[in-house]
Amino acid sequence: MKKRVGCLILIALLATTAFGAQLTLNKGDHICYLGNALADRMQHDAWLETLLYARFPRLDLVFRNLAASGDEVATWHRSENFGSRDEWLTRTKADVIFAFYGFNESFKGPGGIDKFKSDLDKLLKDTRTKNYSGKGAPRVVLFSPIANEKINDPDLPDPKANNSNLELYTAAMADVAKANDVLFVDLFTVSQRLYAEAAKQGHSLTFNTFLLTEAGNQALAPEIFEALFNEPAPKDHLEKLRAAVTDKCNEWHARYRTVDGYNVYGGRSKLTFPRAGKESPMISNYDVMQEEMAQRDVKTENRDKRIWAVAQGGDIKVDDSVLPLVDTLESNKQDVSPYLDPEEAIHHMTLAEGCKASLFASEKQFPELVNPVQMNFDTKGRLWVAAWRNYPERTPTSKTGDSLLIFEDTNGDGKADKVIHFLDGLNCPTGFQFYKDGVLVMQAPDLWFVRDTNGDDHADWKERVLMGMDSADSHHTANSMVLDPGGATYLSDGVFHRTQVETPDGPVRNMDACIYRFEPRTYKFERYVPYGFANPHGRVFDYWGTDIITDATGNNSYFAPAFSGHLEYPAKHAHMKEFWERPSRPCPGTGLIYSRHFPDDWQGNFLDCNVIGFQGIFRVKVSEDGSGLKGESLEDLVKSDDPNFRPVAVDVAPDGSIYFLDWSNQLIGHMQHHIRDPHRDHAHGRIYRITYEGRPLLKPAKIDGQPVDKLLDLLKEPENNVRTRAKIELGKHRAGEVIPALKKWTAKLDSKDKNYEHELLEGLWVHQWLNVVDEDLLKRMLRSPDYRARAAATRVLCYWRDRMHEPLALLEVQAKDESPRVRLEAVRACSFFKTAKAAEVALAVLDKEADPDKPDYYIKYCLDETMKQLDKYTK
Amino acid sequence: MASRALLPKSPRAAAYVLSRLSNQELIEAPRSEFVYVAMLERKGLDKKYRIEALEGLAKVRNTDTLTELFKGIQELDLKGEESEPVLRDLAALLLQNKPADLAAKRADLEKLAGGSQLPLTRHLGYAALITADASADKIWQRAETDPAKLADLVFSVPLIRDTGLRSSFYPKLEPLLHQPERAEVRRAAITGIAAVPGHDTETFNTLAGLVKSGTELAAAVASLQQIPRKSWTKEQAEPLIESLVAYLKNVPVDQRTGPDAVNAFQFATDLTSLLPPEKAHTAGKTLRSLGASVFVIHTIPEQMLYDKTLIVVEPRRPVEIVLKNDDAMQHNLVVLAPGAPEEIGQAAEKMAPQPDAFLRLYVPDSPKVLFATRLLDPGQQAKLAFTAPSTPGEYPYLCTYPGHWRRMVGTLAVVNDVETYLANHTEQKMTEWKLEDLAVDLAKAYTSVNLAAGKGFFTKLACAQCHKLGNEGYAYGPDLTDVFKRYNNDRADVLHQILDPSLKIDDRYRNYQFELKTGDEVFGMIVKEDADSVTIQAGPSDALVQTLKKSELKERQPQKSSLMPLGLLNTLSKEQIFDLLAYLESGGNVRAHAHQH
Repeated sequence: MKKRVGCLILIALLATTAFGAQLTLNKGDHICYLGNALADRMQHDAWLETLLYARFPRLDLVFRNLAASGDEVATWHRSENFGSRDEWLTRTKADVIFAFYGFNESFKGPGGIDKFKSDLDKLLKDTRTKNYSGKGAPRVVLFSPIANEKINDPDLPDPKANNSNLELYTAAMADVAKANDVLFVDLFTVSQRLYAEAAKQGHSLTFNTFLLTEAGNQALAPEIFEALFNEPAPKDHLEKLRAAVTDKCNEWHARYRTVDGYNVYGGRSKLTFPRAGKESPMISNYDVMQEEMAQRDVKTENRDKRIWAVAQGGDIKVDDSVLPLVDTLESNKQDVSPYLDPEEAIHHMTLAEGCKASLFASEKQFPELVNPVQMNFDTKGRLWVAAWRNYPERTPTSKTGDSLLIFEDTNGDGKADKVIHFLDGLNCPTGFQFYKDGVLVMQAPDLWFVRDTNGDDHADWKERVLMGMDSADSHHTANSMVLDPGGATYLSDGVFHRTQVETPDGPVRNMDACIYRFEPRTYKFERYVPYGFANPHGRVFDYWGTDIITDATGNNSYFAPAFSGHLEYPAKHAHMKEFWERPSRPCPGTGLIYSRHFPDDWQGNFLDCNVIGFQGIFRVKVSEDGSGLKGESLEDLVKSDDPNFRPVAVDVAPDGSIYFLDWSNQLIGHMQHHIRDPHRDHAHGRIYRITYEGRPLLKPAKIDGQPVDKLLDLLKEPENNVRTRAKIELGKHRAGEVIPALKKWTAKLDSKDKNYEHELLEGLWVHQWLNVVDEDLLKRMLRSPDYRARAAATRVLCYWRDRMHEPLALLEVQAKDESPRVRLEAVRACSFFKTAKAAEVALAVLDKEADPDKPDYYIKYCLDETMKQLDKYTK
Repeated sequence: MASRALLPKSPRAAAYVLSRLSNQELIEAPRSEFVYVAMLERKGLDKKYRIEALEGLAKVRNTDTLTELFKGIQELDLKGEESEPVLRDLAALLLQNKPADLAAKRADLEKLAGGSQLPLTRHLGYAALITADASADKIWQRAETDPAKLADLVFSVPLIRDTGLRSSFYPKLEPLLHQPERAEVRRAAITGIAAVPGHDTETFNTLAGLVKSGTELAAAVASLQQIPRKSWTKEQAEPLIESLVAYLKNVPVDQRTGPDAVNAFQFATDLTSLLPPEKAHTAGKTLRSLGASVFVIHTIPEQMLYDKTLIVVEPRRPVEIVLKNDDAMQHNLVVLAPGAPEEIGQAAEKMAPQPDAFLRLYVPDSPKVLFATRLLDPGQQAKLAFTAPSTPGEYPYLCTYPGHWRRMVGTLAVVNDVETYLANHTEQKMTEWKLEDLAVDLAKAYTSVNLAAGKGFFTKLACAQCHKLGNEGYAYGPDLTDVFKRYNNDRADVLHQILDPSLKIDDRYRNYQFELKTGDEVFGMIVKEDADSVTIQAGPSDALVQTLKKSELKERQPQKSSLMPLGLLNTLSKEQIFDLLAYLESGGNVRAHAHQH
C-alpha cells in the first residue's frame, strides 16, 4: 500500500516539514493531546499512539487526549465547571503536549493571522512557566492543520479557498514555533502529498475534505512519527497493540467527554438526595458521579498497563475487579406504582372515539425493548427503535449498552414477532435517522453514519460525520431527528450545552439550546433555530414542508418558519408566541397525522405527547393564521391513568395505523431525582398501535429495492411517511440515474390533477435531496399557482442561494407575493445574505401589509429578526 | 455614529428602518423627508429637533411649518394612545403660535377639536381655538348644549398658555362643580378648575368638599394635587386625611397599587405636613399601614436563586410581589409561615404535578402556605398581592418546584419599624457553607467572638424555635445547653452537625411518618408511647402535639432526614457562624462565659 521513501529523500523532506530539536521521550512520560477534531479523531483509531508505544515499549508512556472538535488556541468551549485546559493538563500530569491548532482559526482568514500568532505565542510562553507533571515544564510539539482534500464528489466543496488560508496559518505557526524554539510539524504540506498519493490509487483520506478517515490517520501517523524522531515508523505487528490502545482510548473518552456533564460536575451535580442507610446525610449527583469518574480513571489506568504488556511482546488480562466504591442511594420518590402488564395497561387507556389500542411489542417478549426514545420505519416497513436502557447514561460497570433495534411484524398481525440488534453497546443513542443505505445515529459527542454493508442487518461500517455535539445534560442531547422534505436532518441542544462542530465552512458554536440543520450529503451544518428553549424535543414537517417545533420542558410549540432565519452566533432569536395554547407540560415528542386510515378531518392533526399530569397524546387541529399556523385542541388521541405511562414518540406506520412509544418508567424527571436513583427503570418499554375502528388499514407501499420509476410514483401518495421513505430509497441511487427519470416522470404528470403542484414540488424536493440544482424548475415552483408550493420553493431557494443566478431578484418577487406565507419565507431567506440589498428586499414586505400599524404577527417578528441579523450590512 | 446612507424608497419601509434606530442614531441620520417625519413623531426627542423637522418638512414639501404640525398631530392621533407623550410635545409647539397665525388655520383647528380620535387631540383643538379667539365665549356658546363637547372644552383649560384667558374661566367652571346631572362635564370641571389661577384657596376648599362627600374623589384628589401648596388650607387637612383613609381602606388590597389609590395615598401623606407633629406621626403610621409596597423579584438564570432575598414591610401592609422568571427553568414563589420551609418543601417534593384549585403546581395544601404564585414558565411573570401578616416575624419565601426549595429562598420580614430593621439587616449573600470552609479558621478566628451577636443569630435563624439554650428557647429538638459537653467540646463536630443535621439523629428526635388506616399520613417525633397510643409532636409548638390510637395506625416509617432544615447557616458570614457557635458554647450564659476570656 504505502511506498517506502528513500532515506535521502526522507531527510530532505524532514527539513521542510519539521524543525526544532527532535522529540525525546522519557520513562513514564505523560503525553497529552490538545486541539481540534484532527487530534480528537486520533483517539478513535489511535494510529499515532500505537506507533509510539511500539517504538518505545519500555517507557511505560501514558497518553491522554484532551482535544475536542472545535477547539482553538484561545477557545475552550465547554459546559459549566468542566475544568480549564490548565486544570486538565495538571490532572493528567502532562510531560509532553501535542498541540493541534489552526484549522478553526483559519476561517478568520488573513485578517485573523495577527491575533492567532499572538494567542499561540502566549500559549507557548505560558506553557513554559508550567509544571503539570511535577517534573518541570512540559515539552511542546506544535502541529499545523492538515490541508483540505480535493475529492471528486459534486457534493463536496472545492478546497482551494480554505487551503489558501490554511497555508497562511501553517506558516504563521511555523514562525511562532521557531521564535519559541518549539518543535513544529507541518502537516499541511505532508497531507497534500498524502492526498496526491491516495488520489493516484483512487482513494481519499478524508470523507468530507477535512476530517481524516481511519485510513487517513493510518497514512498520516507514520509521517508524524518520522518527523518527530527522524526515523521510519514501526510497521509490523501493530494490530493487537492498536486494539489495546483503542480500548484504553474508549475508556478515557467516556471519562473526559462524559455525557451529562452538567449533572456530573456542573450546576445540577450539586443537587442532593437521600442516601441509602439510615444515619447518613444527603448525597449529591456530584458525590456519586465523581465516584464513577474515579472508577473510569482506574479502568483507564488498568488499560494503560495492558498496553505496556502488549507493547513489550507479552499480554495481561485487564482486571477491573477492584474499582473505587460508588455510594448507593435511596429513591426520593417512595410512592411509586408497580408496572402494569403491557396488555393490562391498555385497559387503563382512554382513546379518542373510534380508536382502539393494541400492543405491538413490549419488554415481556423482547427484554431488550427498554426505554425506547425514538422510532422510524425503514423502507422495508420495519420499525427501528433506539432503546436507551441505561438512561440517564451507562455506569462504568454496566454490562449491557444501549441498542438500535429493528422490530419486524413478519405475519402482518400488528404485533412484532422478531427483533434484530442492528447496533449494540451504545451509550445514549438519543436520536437516529435514515440516510442513503445507512443510518445516522446520535451518540454524543458524535453523530455517526452507520451502515450494514453485507446485508445481514448488523452494523459493520461506521464513520463519525459530525463531532462536538454536547451532552451536558443527557436528556437535552440531540433527539427527535427528522428529515425535512428536501433531505436535511435536524439536531438539537438543550440548555447548559456548549456545542462546537467543525464544518467545511468553519466551526459552528452555540451556548445552551438550539436546533441545527444538517445536510448529510454536503456536511453543511448550521444553527437553524437559536432560541432560548429549555430542551427542544419535537419537530415535524407538514405536507407542504412547514415545520412545528416544540420545547419539551414547557411543551411550548411554535410555528417554526418565523424563527428559523439566520442569526450569527452568539445571538438568539427574540421571544415568539406559541402556536397553540397547550393544556399541560412537558412534551417529549410530537407527530402529524397523514393517513387515510383515519377520517378526513384528522388529516394534518398535530400530535403532542405529554408525560406528567396529563399522561397521553394531545391531538390538535392546525389551521392558517395570517402568515403562520395556529392550533386548537381536539379530543385527546389517548390518555392513561397508569402513573408509569409515558408516551414519548408517535408516528404513522406504513399500514396507516399510529404507533407510539411508551418509555414506561416510574420516574420521569432528569433533575428531580438523583442520576442514579434506584427507581430509574432499566427493564421496561412498550410500543403500542392505534387503529381506527371500521376503516380499512392501508396496504403498505413497496419501497425497498423498487425501481426509480415506481419510487417516483410513490411521491403522489398523501401519506408523509410513504413519500419520505420513497425519497430515502431514491437517495440510495445516483443522481445521474434519478434526475433524468424524474424529468420524464414530471413531464407525464396530469396538470389538471388537484395534486399537480404538490407533485411538482416533490420533484423539486428530490432535487434538493440529491443536491442537484435545477434553476428552471425552482423558478417554475416559485411562481406556482399554489401559495404553499411557492412558500416551499422559497425555502429551497434559500438553501440554493449560492448556486442560483440573482437569488435576491427572485426573492424580491416572493417578498411581494399575494400570500403572507410566501412573503414570510422570503423575509426569512433574506437573513442568510450578507448585503444591504437583502434588507431592502425583506423590507418590501411592509408594502403588502393591509394595515401598517397592525402588521401580521409572524411577518413582523421575522422581519425584526432578519433586520437584527442584517443591521451590520446596512448601517 | 451609525448613519444610513440610503433609506428604502417605500415610505413604510423607510419608517420601519427609522423605527429601528435609537434616538441618537436618528438625530445623527442624514436628513430626508422620512427622517424628518421620524424626528417629528419619535418619543423623547428634544424640542429643537421637532422644530427642525417641521422646518425641514415645510421646505421639502413646499408648505409651511404650521401645516406640517397639523399633519403630524393628525397622524399621531390616528396611531392611538401610545403617541400621547409626543402629542404633548407638539401641543406645546402648536399653542405657542401667535393667535393670528392660529386663527388663519381655524378650519384645521375645528377639525382637531371636533373630529379627533384621542381626547388629548380634541382638547388641544379647543385650547388652540380659544387662543385664536382670545376668548372662550364664542366657543362656549356653541358647545354648551352638547355635554361631550363641553367636557372636551373644559378639559382644554389647562393647555391654554395665557393666564388671563385661563382665569376668565372661573365663573364658567365653578357652577359646573355643583351640577351632578352632567357627570362628565363636572369631572372635566374638577380637572380644569385647578388650572384656573386666582382662586386657589376657594378651589381647594370646594374640591375638598367633594372629597369629603365622596364625590368624584379620584378626579378631585388629582386636581387638588395641582393646586400650589401655599393655598392648601390647614383646617381641611385633618378631615381630608380621614376621608382619604376611609377611602383607601375600602380599596381592595390588590388594587392599592392602582393610580387612583396611589394618588390618594400620596396626597394624604403630603397633607400630614399641615398637621401638628404628633398628629402627623399618627396619621403617617396609619397611612403607611394602608399603602401598598411593590417589590420586583427576578430569578437568576441557571443559578436557582432569587435576585432579592430580603423584603421588609410593616404588619398588615398591602404588599405586591412581582416575580419575573428570567431563568430557563420553571419557578414559583411561595410565602410561608416562619419555620415552615422544611415541612412545605418536603411536602411539595412528594406532590404529583397536578394543578391545585388555583392552577398552581407544587403548592402543598397547608395553612403554613400563606401566599403563592403559579408556576412560571421561562420568561413569564406573575403578580402576588396580599396583606402582610399582622404578627411581626421573618416569613420565608421559596420556590417549591421539587429540588429548588433549599436553595431558592428569601425572607419577607414583617416588622413594626422598617427603617430600624433595614439599618440592622442587609440583604445577605448566600454561602453554601461546608465544614472544610470553616474548619481551618475555627480555632484562630474564635478568639474574638461576639456572644451578643451569637445570641441574636440563635433567635434570628429560628434556632430558639426548636431548641432550648439555658432559659431561652422551646424544647422541641435537643436541649443545646450542654451540647458542647455532649460533643466532647469538639467545635468542629458541633458545627458539622449543624451543617448536616441528619448526620446523627438521636432516636428521641427522629421524625416518623405514620400511615393511618384512613389513608392519611401524619409526621412527627414520638414524645410518648404506651401500649395503646403514641403521642407525637409535629413541630415546635404545644399545639402540634397529638395522640394517635394505635388501633388507628397502619404503619410507621422512621425518616432518614432530620427535622432540622439544611442550610441554616447559609445567610451568615464566617465570623457570624463563629459568634453563634461561641454562644452555643457559652450554654446561654453570655456573661459567665465572657469572663473566662
